[in-house]
Amino acid sequence: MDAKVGVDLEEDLPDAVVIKGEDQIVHKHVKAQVNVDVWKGEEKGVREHYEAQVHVDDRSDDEANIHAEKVEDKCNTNLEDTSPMVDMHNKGVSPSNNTDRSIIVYENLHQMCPRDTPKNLLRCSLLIQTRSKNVVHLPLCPANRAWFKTIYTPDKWLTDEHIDSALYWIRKVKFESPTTQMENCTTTDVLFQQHLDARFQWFIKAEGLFFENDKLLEYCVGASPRLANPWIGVDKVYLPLNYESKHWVLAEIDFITRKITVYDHETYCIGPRKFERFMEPLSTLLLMLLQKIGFFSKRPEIEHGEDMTPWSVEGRELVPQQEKRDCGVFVIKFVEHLIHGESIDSVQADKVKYFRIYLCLNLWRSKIALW
Amino acid sequence: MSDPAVDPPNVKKEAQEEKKTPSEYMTLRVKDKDHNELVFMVRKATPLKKLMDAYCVRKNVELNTFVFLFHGRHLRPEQTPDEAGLGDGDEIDTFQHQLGG
Repeated sequence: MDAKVGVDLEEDLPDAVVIKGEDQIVHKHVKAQVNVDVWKGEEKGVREHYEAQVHVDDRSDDEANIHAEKVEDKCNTNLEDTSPMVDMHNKGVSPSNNTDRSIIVYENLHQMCPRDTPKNLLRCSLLIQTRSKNVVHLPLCPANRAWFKTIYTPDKWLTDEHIDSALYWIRKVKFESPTTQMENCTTTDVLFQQHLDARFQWFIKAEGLFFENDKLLEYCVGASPRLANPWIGVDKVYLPLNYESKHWVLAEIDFITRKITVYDHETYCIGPRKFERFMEPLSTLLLMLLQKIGFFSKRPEIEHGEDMTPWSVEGRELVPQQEKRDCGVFVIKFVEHLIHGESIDSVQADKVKYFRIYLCLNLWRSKIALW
Repeated sequence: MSDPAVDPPNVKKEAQEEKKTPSEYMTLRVKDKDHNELVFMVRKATPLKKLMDAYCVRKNVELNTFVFLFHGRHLRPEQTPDEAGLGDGDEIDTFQHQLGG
């Protein structure tokens, strides 16, 4: 797969797709290692391909070391069939004096691929390299190819940015379709837990708990994260929680039944005692937070009194079995199902591959909507 | 007596330098979740990686331990302050980078 090829493709081609054609001219004077990215378009070869191309993810490679990159795409034939807008550009080879890389620009993906089967779309998005340093701008974070690759590659762990972006997308769907029937709920982001843990340390030391412009209270009044609802107006809040930077779980605060439910198949992995300690900040501080924002005075239907005992924390039984390493995807999928008022039983481990691809596509589309 | 004679040119020189490069540097305040603050002076055209690494070194932790956010948006190390829309005196929040699987 690796060959030393220098390719220079024209950069300013709006709404055009530049795909390397048949001509492959080997250039012997390329000093730096040039990665030849070959998308085989075959399911079988995909894994090996990524493993062989891991170094492409490296930032240093993305920035400087690669002078040119060639993309050969078998699916271009499909694309040509489906979309008349696809142009095939093929330009000669230049020496390695350029720092520009070959640019594959798929803009307006929706219009481009009228028959946008997930597979086709995914293939398009795989080849994306935008003009500015291979980075596309999602609402919450800039994302490069490696970022998307992490989502659709099986067994890869999701990071906080993935969870945040996915939850934002879920909130956005909810926000944009207020008429459809959904649960009256909202979500937080992954940073809520970190604020909470930090604050719990203060609480133990008996320092002042809240102060002006408190980030923690911003979550409760709906100012943060973006497109969240104030807690006063909702029945349920979903929180993604991270356990020691190795496991994602989903917690649900139910204001009506006054309960905290944890959706995690692997509760036993954490261990009952550790689990209790893990949930302690939330269960302890939640009531103080709610009192601070005057929750109970505005929601008289919730019987509270002056009871300050922490709400009970329960592990939800019969959570669908999940494979290891996919818990991030499951958390996102659980939130999606629960917000739409559907049972989470249909979230099964054998569909994870499909979930990952769809998540990737939806996040990719959220970028396009920005432009 | 010689000092005052020497000083004015120095002052002038410094003032000139400041004049020349008023827009080249900016101060950024990096705040962690416990509200401890570190102030960095950075060049506007330097990628933020330098600041991030310096912060991690200062905190005695491995690189990439933290995520850096500005107004809720994640900052990437290859961005420069200008590209990220940062201005003089802006506040960056840091959090632990979290993974899970």
